[in-house]
Amino acid sequence: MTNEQLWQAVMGEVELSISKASFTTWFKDTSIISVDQEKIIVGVPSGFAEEWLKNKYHKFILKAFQKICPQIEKVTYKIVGNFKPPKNGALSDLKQETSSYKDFASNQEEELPDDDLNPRYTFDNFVVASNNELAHAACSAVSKNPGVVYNPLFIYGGVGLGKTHLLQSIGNELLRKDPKKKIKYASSEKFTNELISAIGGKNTKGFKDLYRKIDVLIIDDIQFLAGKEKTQEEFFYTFNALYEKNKQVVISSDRPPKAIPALEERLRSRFEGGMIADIGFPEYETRLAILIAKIKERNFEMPEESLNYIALHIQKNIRELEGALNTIMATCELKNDYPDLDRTKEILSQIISQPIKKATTPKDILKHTSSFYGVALDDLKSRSRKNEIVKPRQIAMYLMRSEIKSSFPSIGSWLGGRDHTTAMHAYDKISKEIENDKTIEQEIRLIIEKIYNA
Amino acid sequence: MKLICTQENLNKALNVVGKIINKNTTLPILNNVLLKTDKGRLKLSSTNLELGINYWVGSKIEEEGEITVPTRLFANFISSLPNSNVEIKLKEDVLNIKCDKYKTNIKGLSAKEYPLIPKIEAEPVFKINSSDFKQALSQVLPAISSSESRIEITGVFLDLSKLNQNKIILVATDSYRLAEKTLTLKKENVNKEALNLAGDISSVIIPKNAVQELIRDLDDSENLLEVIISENQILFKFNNANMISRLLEGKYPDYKQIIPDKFETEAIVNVDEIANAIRVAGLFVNVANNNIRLKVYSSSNILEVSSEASEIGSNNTKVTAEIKGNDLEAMYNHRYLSDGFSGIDGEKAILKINSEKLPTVLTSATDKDLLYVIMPVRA
Repeated sequence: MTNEQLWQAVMGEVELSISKASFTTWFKDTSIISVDQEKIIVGVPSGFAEEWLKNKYHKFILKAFQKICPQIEKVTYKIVGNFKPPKNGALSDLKQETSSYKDFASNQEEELPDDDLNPRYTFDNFVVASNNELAHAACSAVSKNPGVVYNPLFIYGGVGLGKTHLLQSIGNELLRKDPKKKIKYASSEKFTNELISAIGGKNTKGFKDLYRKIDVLIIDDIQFLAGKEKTQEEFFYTFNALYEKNKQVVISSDRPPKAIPALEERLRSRFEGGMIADIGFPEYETRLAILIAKIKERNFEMPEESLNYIALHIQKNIRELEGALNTIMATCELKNDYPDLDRTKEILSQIISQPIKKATTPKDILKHTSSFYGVALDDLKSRSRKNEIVKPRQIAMYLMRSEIKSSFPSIGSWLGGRDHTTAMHAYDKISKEIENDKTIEQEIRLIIEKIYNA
Repeated sequence: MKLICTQENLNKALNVVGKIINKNTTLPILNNVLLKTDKGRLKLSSTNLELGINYWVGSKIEEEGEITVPTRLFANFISSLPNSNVEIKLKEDVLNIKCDKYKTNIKGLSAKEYPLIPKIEAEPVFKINSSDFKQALSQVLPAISSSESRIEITGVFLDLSKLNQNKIILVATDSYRLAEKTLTLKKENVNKEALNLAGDISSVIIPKNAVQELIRDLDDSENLLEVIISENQILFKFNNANMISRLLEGKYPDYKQIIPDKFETEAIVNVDEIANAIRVAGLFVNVANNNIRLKVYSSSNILEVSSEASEIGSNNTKVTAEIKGNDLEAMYNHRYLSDGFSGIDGEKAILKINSEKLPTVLTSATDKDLLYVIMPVRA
């Protein structure tokens, strides 16, 4: 029996005769130091435990020992720790171990923050196409020269289009070049949570230090800061501190800074002060290229017609595209099948047969449009002709016409009993603007996405 | 148990033993204070299992006994009583307290379950004036690190290697600044043999909470404080109390190497004047870094303290100083500088600066026993 087993057995015996609280308090971090025939020395963590075991539990302990090893006659207690008192003259030993000035100075920098990067995302496995080439170019420029060009860099685009991939690639690329670079990747939710726990733990200074000593800060999904004023304020300070020191800041969002409601003006203007790049929906060729890259990565074979089929049928979201591909690969591997066109159709039927567009209602359209632009629903229906309300109202009218083919008179009545000609005018106006104005197109696309993803 | 003591003494005792903060929640009895008759006096004890304090109150003991009662309740109650005699009587596990017109029963818990406060059976290593030790601890306290990541610097380093020259050294650092205080003892107060008995211990690290507790409990008198050390624990005996604490484990960094012995520039300044200038500059620091700038002009004997925060404003104060050496400038965290000057004894302080890459040293012009080292912030 090893000392450890012996002590476990003894503690098991003692535990039965004393209360749980006492047991955890007094037997925590104890161990057997040495066994010498009939003498046993028990190591305890503190003077308190020593006194207590010696004076209160000695009988229990001795009895338990004797039950297992009858020859034991004496149990003594000794305080142990990792502590070895430095002997006289030990200071010179210390000298060799720590070149202390360096120690002192290097302590100025706290430990590296956890970067939270996923090494899977790199520029190498990012498929560049016309929908994302600007964003990709900006990100790769940033990873070559952080803090110099494009600071801050703001990337926006819908869900599943590769924002996170690009952002993480910047971090991974920088780390690859210089592993000592302090890079922090955080979703805005994580940033908020860390701030909250720092406030709760009364350690806001630690939080500040952590975020202000890094070289590159990457915040994903910044739109979730909307409405969280304290977090925005803290983020603002962090942003300024880093920006002043020419540290790179990269931010992503599902919409342009202008379209994030309840975002403080000073933050908005700062985001707009750097480079803004968008990621749009991938075209058919891009989707196909992504699928080819994916099956290569996984070393899987698939006929081109099957890939074609997937690329044609899943259009709006790269994540879904990958999901479909994964489903096919998994099913085929499981059943040892070859994914020809028929098989692919069969497997994807569950995914694709779901109507791509869920039915939506005028109510939903109004709700999402008003929340997207941060105006009250009642304002849309009111008679107000303020510019900031007129535009969302017209877009809502446009969407009701284009998405659910409502009649113009009913659109008019949904929006506060307006005339059908007003609705017609709005539809024509927005249709024209979409052709000329990229931002409007982008915004409408995002609203539609929100409506159908809700 | 039956005894009589004065409210004043009992209250004083509870001010000492009642302040220990209990972090352990598994053992509720730690929220209680132990009352026990002990050789003609009443002993009050309290502990959080890291730190333990015993305090003896002179009393007229009529019946021996022991009990524990909730600390906060007991202390609040006793402090509200008029200054008169307090009669304490234990009936089963209820404490009857009579004082003036007050009659109170407090329900207690058996003393059998109360942790035993460890003892060290050894001779004191040294003795020192309470007030001197208290002042020294207060001077180094601000520099103690609170970072859990390096346990060994979360306490005061007590260096006994110069005890044969009748000196002890107290050090604290958080790796951004460091305070070192040398105390000279009277020859008769040093027990060199005891040191050998204690197992060749040449230094110990006293935890921060023990240091804070000592500062609170020691008085500003000439009374002698006895310090007794064992391998894992340190015991302080003072007045009617003794306090035992565990020691921190680990090796204290070899801090001496970081203190430069040559300086480019030395400035002698009036402590109050510069401390105020720093306080003012501290109002205009950037929230992100807390930095203020010191500029030394040797030709005009001026030390300029300045700060600027883009959102608040800026400030600069010129302080006259006697300056030897080159013109220099460096940035510091204003709190660290303030802490440094607040510990300085005497009217004048000497600021020794090298460049912004090497530590700056701050001492009093008259009292060279306190050394405050601070690392400039690299811009």
